[in-house]
Formats: sequence, C-alpha cells, structure tokens
Amino acid sequence: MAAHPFLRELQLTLKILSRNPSAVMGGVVIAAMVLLAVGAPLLAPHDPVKLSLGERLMAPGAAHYFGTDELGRDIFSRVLFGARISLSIGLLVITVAGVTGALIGATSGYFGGKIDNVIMRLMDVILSFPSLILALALAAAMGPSLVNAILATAFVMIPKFARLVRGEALVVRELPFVAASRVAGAGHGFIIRRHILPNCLNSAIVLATLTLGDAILIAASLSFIGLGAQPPTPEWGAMIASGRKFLMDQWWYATFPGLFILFTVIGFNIFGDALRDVLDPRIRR
Amino acid sequence: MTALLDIRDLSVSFDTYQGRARVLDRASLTVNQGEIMGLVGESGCGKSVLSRSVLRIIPTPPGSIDGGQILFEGRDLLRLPQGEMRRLRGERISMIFQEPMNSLNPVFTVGNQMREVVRAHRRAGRAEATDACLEMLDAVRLPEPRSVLRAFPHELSGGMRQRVMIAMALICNPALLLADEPTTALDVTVQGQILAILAELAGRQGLSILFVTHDMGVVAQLCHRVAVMYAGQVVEIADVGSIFARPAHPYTQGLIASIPGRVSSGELYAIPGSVPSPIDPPPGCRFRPRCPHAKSGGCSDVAPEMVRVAPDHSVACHLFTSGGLP
Repeated sequence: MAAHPFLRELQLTLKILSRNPSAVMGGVVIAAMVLLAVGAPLLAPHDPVKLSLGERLMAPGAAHYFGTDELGRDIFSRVLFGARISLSIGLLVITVAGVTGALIGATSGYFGGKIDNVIMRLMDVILSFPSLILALALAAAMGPSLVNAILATAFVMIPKFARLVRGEALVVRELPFVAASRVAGAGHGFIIRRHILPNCLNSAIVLATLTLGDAILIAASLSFIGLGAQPPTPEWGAMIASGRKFLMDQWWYATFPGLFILFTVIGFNIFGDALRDVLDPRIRR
Repeated sequence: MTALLDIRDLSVSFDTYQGRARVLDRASLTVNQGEIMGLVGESGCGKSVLSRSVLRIIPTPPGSIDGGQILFEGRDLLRLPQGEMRRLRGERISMIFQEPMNSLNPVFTVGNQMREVVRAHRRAGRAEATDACLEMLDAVRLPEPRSVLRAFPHELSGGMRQRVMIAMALICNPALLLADEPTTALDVTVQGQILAILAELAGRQGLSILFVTHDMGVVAQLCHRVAVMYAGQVVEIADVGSIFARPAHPYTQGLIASIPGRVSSGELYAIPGSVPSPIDPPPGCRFRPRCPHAKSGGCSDVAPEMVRVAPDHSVACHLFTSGGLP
C-alpha cells in the first residue's frame, strides 16, 4: 500500500537533502544545537544561575569546561541553557513575522491595485530603516524585556516575508486553478488560504530558515545592549555584554557564548541556502 | 425548447493604454435547455470574454460590462448580488478552461480539491463527498478513480487532468457548463474522448453546454447549434446542419472554406486581411474590409442587424437585409 502522499513528498525531500553536503553540515550544526538546548537540564553539570562566589572567574578546566563568570556561575551550563533561550527566541520571531508577513503579502498580491500599493509602501517604510536600528528603537520605546525584544525583532522582519510572498502571490493568482476555484464558487478568503498561501510556502520556508540566524543575532544584540533578556537569564548576548569587561584577562567569559551565536547563525544560513536549492522544483525530479 | 441562458445585447470593454477597447459589441445569443451551443470565431473575437462574462469573472478594472442582460433561468446575472452570484458558480453554472496543466492546485491531492468543491456547495461528510467524487470520476471514465483521488496533479496526464476538471465542474450537477476551448491543448485522440464524454454527460444529465472553440471540426462533431463571432459581434446563428450546408455570412463561408481537407487540391483558403482593432473598429459592417461582397456605400455606413433567413438561422449581413444591398 502506498504511503500517504504528504509523507511520500517529505521522504523525497529528506532524501535529496541528505545528498547535499552543505545541507548535511548545516543540519548537523542545527541538530547539535537543538539537542544541547533540549538536553540542557541533563547535560549541564551545574545550575546556570547558582552563584558560587568562591569560584569566581576560573579558567576552563575539568571542573568547569568553559570556566566561570564573575559571580562563579558555570559558563558551560549557562551557554547550554542559553541555547534554549536563543533558539526559542529565533523560532518565536520567525513564526510571528512569517505568519503575519505571509498573510499581509498574500492579501496584498492577490488583490493587487490600490490595496497592494498602500500595503507595500507601508512595508517599504519599515524596510527603509536598518533593521537593527529600528528594532532597537522599538525595544527601547516598549521597555527592556525579553518579550518586547522578540516583538520588536519580529516587527522588523515582517516586510521581508510580506515582499517575498507578495511576489509569489502575483504569479499564483494568475494561474488557472485560481480562476477554476472562483468559477466553482470560492470566495477571496478561501482562495488566499487554500491556493495562494500554500503555493508560496516553499520560498517562505527557505526565507524563514535563512532569517532565523538573523533573528537570533538581532535578539542577541538587543540583549547585549540591555534591551532584551534581563539578568540572571543566561542569554548569549547578555553574557557577552557582561563578559566584555573581562575580555583582556578572562577571554573565556565572552568567547564561548560568542562562538555559540556564530555557529548557530552560520548553521541556519548554510541550511537555508541548501534548502532553497532542494525545494527548487526544477531540480526536484 | 426554453432558453436556459439568454444573453441580450451584451457589451464589454477594456481600458488599455491605447484607448478603450470594445471587445463585445451588443452580442446576443441563447442556449436552450439540454443543448450544446458552439461559439466559434478566430482569436481575439471576444468568445472567451463572452463566456467569462456569464460568470462575472472579468477583471474589473480594467474591464467593464457596459450594457445588456444575461438572463439565466429568468434572472439577470448582471444584477445579482455578489453572494448569490457566488452560490450560483459551481452549483448551477460551471466552467472548464483550456489549460488542463495548471487548472489544479499542485500542492494538494486531486481528492482533496474535489471534496472541497462538493463540501462547499452541500453538507456532506468526508466519506459521502469521497463517494460523490468516485462516482463522478467514473462518469468521466477515468480508470482507477481511487488512485486518482490520492494522486497529485503532476502525476496525471493532460487528458486525465482535463477529465478531472470536467468531473469537478459537473459534480454539483449544474444546469449549464461553459467550456472555454477545453480540448485545444490536448492531442486529437484525447480530444475525441473528451468530446464523447461531454456529449454523453450532456445527454444523460440534461446539461446545456456553451462550447467555445475555434475548431469547426469539433463543432460539427459535438454541437447542436452554432454562433459565429467576428470582432466582438455575433454575426450568424444557426443549427449545425445549416451552418455547414448553407453558411450565409461571408465570414462564416470563409471559415468553412478554410477548414483543411475540405478542398481536395490546391492551396488552403485563407480569409484575406486580419481582424480589425477593437479600439477603432471600421464603421458600418466590421467585416467589410475583408469581405468579397462588400459594396461601397451601404456596407460602410450602416451596421447590419440580425435578420432571420430560415426558421433557425439568423445572420447579420447586408446581403440579407430587406431589399438586399442598399
């Protein structure tokens, strides 16, 4: 008996992905990060927020793999728990920005004309600011907290999704199945949900993977300036910020969280690139 | 026979950068209950616009319906509120298109999309909807309907897809099917099968079809009556026998003379000249610049009105207006 068609497609995608070296590399990095994040409570040798003033600023060694910070907290444990925070921030940002942006873009592209013009000019206004600066201003205006940092980051990412999906929607709305659906009695909302959005999904997924790294980076930057995660939350950006003062003598404090940000962002970027190639229907079969 | 669809003096125009194009100019035709009506004419004569106007899926702007009536089951579709129009689409009037390749959404299975149509128009459970789909796929003679339902559109051939489209169009048992060149993209054998299916379903379900095509061969094989369009106007309407045996309008005569294989030897006949621009059509009779019988004066001054030349045969040409050419 044949497998469910969706599973069949998924299987094929995975098979093609596994033959692409950069997809494998990116995938391995991402998988490692996810494993570390999920397994943090089991893998971390110490409590990430427990102060131990007797062991301040210890160099990496057998007791503390990545050393300790100025309050004697184990950096390795903090970095592991930080992975949970950064990955969930990234996912939340992408989900909020992706869903909102895709809806806006699909509506804009499907209706076209004046509606399209107004919506896309609004998106252009958002895009005209450098995303980090705008996110910073928004986060500062809303007040420093992790939730506000997530919302601010999501907001500046919305136009990327809106523009991409709008472009696809402009193509899809001219395809005969949209007309066929209209003559079968479908309304506009139904057509957007059923025909426009699913056909834009491929590129939206690629963009989501590609921008996940950026989202993590922006959110970490906000935390670095003190507008995101607040102490004692073990957030990578916040850790680098406090480790900065000790960079000359205790290099390990800021270096390890920094390396984790680097690997995570590169991992998502490489994987996103590979995914774009794989989801390209021209090389699919 | 009663008229199911009665289009009266329908005018449609489109705004273009060069000006306003009158693509339909007071076009009238009727489709009777259970009848297959052919609508022929060369590219750009407005036959697709006419069929799309019936379902009001002309994009507005740039298009606009300037006047006329489209009476369906006694109601004027042009005055129907959006909501009622939507209910009518797919349920009483369906449409199939030329491109079977893209007429199905590539990201969902055939079954998924067919069930959606059923459930949009009547309350049906999943199993009930599936049964309706299987029955309809069987009616369009698709082998192994169950595996067709599970398949994605790209796994089907063009002919199979067009059959799925026909099944989807007819699943709610509509009174009228608008077929916009449904066999143009298919090869001749598949075309023959599709036509046979349409003829059979029309006969069995009492379905009326408005069949848009530029293929006179298809018309001869399938249709009961034919309307010939030229440059946005209906120039001749007759039963299919009369059209081929006694074409009245010089344009229809030209069309029939240019069917390959009807003349045993020599060069294939082609009507001289080309279709006039809908933005600035010639005054009087629009066919005059290409017409072998054109006379100066009458033909270029007065647009000919439809006159009846036989019980079921009307034509718009000065050769037949009272007293011949003015």
